[in-house]
Amino acid sequence: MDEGALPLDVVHEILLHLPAKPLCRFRAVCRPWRRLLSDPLFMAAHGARHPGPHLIASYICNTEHDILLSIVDHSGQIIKQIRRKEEERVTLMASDLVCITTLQDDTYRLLNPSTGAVYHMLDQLAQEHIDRGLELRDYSEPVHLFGLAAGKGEYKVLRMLIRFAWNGAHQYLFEVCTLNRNRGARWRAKQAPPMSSMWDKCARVVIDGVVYLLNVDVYNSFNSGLHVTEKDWIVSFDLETEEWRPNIRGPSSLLVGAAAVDMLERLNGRAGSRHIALTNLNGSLVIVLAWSSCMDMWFLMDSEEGLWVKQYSMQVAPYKNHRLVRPLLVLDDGRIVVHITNMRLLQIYDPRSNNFTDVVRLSHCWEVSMYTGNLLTLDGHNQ
Amino acid sequence: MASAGSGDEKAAAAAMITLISSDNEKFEVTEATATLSQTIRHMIEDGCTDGGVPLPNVTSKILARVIEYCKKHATAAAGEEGSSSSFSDAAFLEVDRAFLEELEEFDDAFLEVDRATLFDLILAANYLDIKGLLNLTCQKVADSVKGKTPEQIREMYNIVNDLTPEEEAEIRRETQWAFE
Repeated sequence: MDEGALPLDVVHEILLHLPAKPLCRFRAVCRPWRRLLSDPLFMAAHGARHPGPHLIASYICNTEHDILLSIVDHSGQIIKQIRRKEEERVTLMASDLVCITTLQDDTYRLLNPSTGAVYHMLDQLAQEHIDRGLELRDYSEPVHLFGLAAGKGEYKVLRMLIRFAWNGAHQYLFEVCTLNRNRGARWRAKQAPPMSSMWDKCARVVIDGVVYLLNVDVYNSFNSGLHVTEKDWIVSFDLETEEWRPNIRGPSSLLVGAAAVDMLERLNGRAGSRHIALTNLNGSLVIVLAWSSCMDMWFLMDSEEGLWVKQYSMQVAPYKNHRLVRPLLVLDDGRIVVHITNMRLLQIYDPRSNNFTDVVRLSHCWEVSMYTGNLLTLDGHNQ
Repeated sequence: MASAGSGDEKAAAAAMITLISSDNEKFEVTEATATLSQTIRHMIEDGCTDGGVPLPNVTSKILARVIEYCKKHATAAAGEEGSSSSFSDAAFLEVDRAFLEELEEFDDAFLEVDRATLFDLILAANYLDIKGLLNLTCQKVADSVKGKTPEQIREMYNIVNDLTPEEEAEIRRETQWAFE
């Protein structure tokens, strides 16, 4: 038969079996292929056939290393790399966006690593704050938390600014903006959260358009081995309504377990290193609790009831400092992909054998997180 | 397995289907083999298989290969159903594993064909709607083009480049990472 005569639906079927990288390249074969490979229906079918999971890694700003970001699969194979321009630095990665700043000018922007789309945010305070005589330059480096708001499907950013005071009476500002491809996003002033919350990297997360922050008191009490009640563990902010939601309770059964561990540790005369973190595992809000040689992962099942279930637990004895062990995702067979941050190493934990095995060492790597974007998406198709 | 096998044979003897290739060659197959094709399954359900099923898009050479694939995989499906009741779990897993390995070897050998035959198999699998065969053959082609450049693809498949140089440059710019 004539080899050129394969009908387009058969070509379609064959191309669905290919990974994203050759498919982006094959858009340059001819017009029919470009049309097919840029068709949102094809992209959706491809996304369904190759659901990932994918991880995204950011790298330290270093003269010998010019990669800013890479997207890898859970076997460590690099699927896509983005080069660093000038002195770019990644401040945060969440869902399918990455926040980038440039050392020289201190401005922040968000990048969609699949499409290359860039969203700028205005380098000034919200008008309400300007009217009160406040100035941006008095505040330290802002923290941006962002995601796709439910409802209209717009990307929004919550930012917190801190003005440090020597006497400890720090001032906080909270602002929100809606990202727009055509112009820099304008900030709007928002209420402060109902209680003081952590903005530390390990205690904040955005899932499905909701920002979750751990209560400062819970964080401090837990880490110093003090008694923690289950009340008010987490504050949350809805990016769609732009309002703080009712606080979420902590896991109650945890407190019983914690008391028992405390007693054992005291009896044995050793207080273990403790660590508490908030994270997104496979789309769920998860509290990661590490003490002694255990790292438990508590999944939030019902936020109104404050119902938490301990779904996974890792024996982290090989690692003295639990802070350095970050669970990234749970595979279908229950194995857990973890990032050992100080070793720049991806490992897989097998709960059946309690073993960690190396996946890949990402040299110069800084952070790794789950990546949910579709790699075939082109600029302009993502909204 | 023995009792299940004789049962199958009895049922099969009662339901043979005749497939007719484009060059008018007739193939007698069991219903279990034929119904791996969703297209034929629907024809059987609609009761329009008396006097044979004409397949004007499939040559006898290709139909023979397709039937070879379906026979092997229909046995595999029947084996899975039968064995679960007649073996203990451990023995069942052992048999299962051995069978899957054998099936994989069969598939690998089955794909040792020239490119024209491979494409004819894809077209037949697509027309007859045989999911397993379509996946197998498409993956084979996908693996062979994975590392190629757009120029190599055009050359391999006689595709005329109807993109303007500007359009091509734009595609490269949009997804520069894919060309590195």
